[in-house]
Amino acid sequence: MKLWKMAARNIGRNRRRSILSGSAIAIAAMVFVIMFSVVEGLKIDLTDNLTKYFTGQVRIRNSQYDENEELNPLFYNISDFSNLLEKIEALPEIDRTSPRIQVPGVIFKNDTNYTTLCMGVDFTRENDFMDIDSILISGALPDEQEKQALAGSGLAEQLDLEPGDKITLMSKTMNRGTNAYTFTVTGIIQTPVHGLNTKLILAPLEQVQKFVKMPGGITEILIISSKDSSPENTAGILSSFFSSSNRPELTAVPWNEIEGSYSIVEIANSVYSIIAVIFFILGSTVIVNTTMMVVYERIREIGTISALGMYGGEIVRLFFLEAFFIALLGSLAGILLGIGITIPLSHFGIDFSRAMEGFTLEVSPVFYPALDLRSPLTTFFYAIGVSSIASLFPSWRSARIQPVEALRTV
Amino acid sequence: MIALIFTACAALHAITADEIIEKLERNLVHSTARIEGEMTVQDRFGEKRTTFISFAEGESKTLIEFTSPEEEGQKILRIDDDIYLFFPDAEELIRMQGSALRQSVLGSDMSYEDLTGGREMKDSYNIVLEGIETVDGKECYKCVLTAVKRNVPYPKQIMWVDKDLFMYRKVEQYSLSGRLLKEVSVLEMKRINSKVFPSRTLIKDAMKKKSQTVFSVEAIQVDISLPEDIFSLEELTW
Repeated sequence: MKLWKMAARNIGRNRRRSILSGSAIAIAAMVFVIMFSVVEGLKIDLTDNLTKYFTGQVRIRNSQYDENEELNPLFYNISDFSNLLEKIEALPEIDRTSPRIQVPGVIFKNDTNYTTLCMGVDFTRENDFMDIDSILISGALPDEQEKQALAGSGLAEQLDLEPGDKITLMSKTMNRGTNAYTFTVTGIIQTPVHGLNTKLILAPLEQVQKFVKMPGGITEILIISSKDSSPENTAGILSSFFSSSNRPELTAVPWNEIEGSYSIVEIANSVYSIIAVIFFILGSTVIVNTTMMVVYERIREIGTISALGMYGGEIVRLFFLEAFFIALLGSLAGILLGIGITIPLSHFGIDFSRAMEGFTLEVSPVFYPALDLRSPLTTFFYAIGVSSIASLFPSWRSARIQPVEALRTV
Repeated sequence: MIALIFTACAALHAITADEIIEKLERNLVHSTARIEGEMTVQDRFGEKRTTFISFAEGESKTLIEFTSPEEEGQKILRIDDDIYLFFPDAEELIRMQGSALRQSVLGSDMSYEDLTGGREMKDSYNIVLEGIETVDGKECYKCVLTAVKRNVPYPKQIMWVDKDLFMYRKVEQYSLSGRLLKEVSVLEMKRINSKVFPSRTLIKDAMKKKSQTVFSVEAIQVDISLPEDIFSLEELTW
């Protein structure tokens, strides 16, 4: 009889054992698929948040601003930005732009100081860039001609703010003086980044220019590249543009080269990868252990078939095929289960908001796993490979035992 | 001869630390004063000049109005240990409290906290006279002040008070842990009526790199009549 038929019949002869063995492999495969999807989703989320709210895919700044960023040197701004922006937007590599002023400030209320980040934006462009409509949870957008602003939901909660309330911010001005400015809150926004919500004030660009006494200037322009251009390529094009336009003070840096932002992604990638590897090892241990145990508990059977004339090599191939078939079915079942769980999670998300309270990471509190077809395929072949190989050693060892000795095994 | 020596010694050692500080405070405090001055901040980014007019009554009330174009209309009012800020672009007064007092005034080396505190140093500090040292070629009493109250900006100060003029030439201000926070040096002194005042003062914030602020008094009038309610919150918003 052919070995593969014998293997298939052996699998059916002891269904409980086969199901248990297959289940262990299925569970491990399912966990791999879900884990990799969560990790992939976290990476996408982090990148998305960084590029949408903090850096864009490419960030344009005055080079000296970057060198002294911790001192908020508004005098190193991008002057005459309207003219410049028009020319930048005409480049084919540019999809969207966001001119911004970033001003750290403070609100003094009820004997407490509240640190804020006031962002002056062009709401028309910003609605495309940050999709403000989707994060506006109450109220309306500010009128660009009025001293109005949106407040982050966390800040609004701390200050007990509602649309219609007023807040007074104090900050440094461009000429290193101090100024305070009162805004009327017209709406509350909630970004996916918890830390940002606790300090964000979003106000019209012109109002913030008046606040910090910086007429016509901004601190940065964020860029989203067109689909045909990578951030690195777009940054290169912009750098050449600045050189030829006599704006040597400006630099264009792709987001993954911005100090601080990419290191967050790199750290996150490392952490996620370590977590994935740990799960991988644990899962692999389960597969190997189960497969080996299945072989070792059949030593008497091995002794019997050896006594009946089956050679050692045939015995090894027989058990290899059994492990292979169980692994094939088990990993297939596990992968399908994993995909079946991941797909609804990728729509509804996993809510970690309570666990993340107090954290200021650039990660959304609700994670959406992202299914990448490479991970189920990798898992499928890995699970089959590990199970099959794991059966080789115990079956080889068992086949070498004399039939008489094997039959004596209890 | 010996008697003269003893008399001279007695005279030299007769003055106590408290008396030195009392005389210093008498120089510093006027019933009322109006000062026109300039503050120049020098740091790694260059120089920034701010002009102001300051009104004071005794040791606990001060109103500073900024007159330079960048800060025009901004005011600081101090009543006892309360500091209020007025900005033309703000619809409310800002009251500086707690850790906010440690913020610098217009990016200078002086903090809002430096504006608070009474002149009654004897009540707030234990003062020890450590001897006589020379500062800028002038003999000075070296007084070490250690805070006995918690609500003082600097738990420890060392003052070098000019022996003849009873005005400080140099002050070092320390934190509770003994870390140097500020250095104050008087570059120039003038007399008005019978009192001496520092007409040019250099302040260095030891926590900031390459930063110093010079305060210059351009004009001063003392013991003048000031408008009623000049040191009121209502007056601040006008």
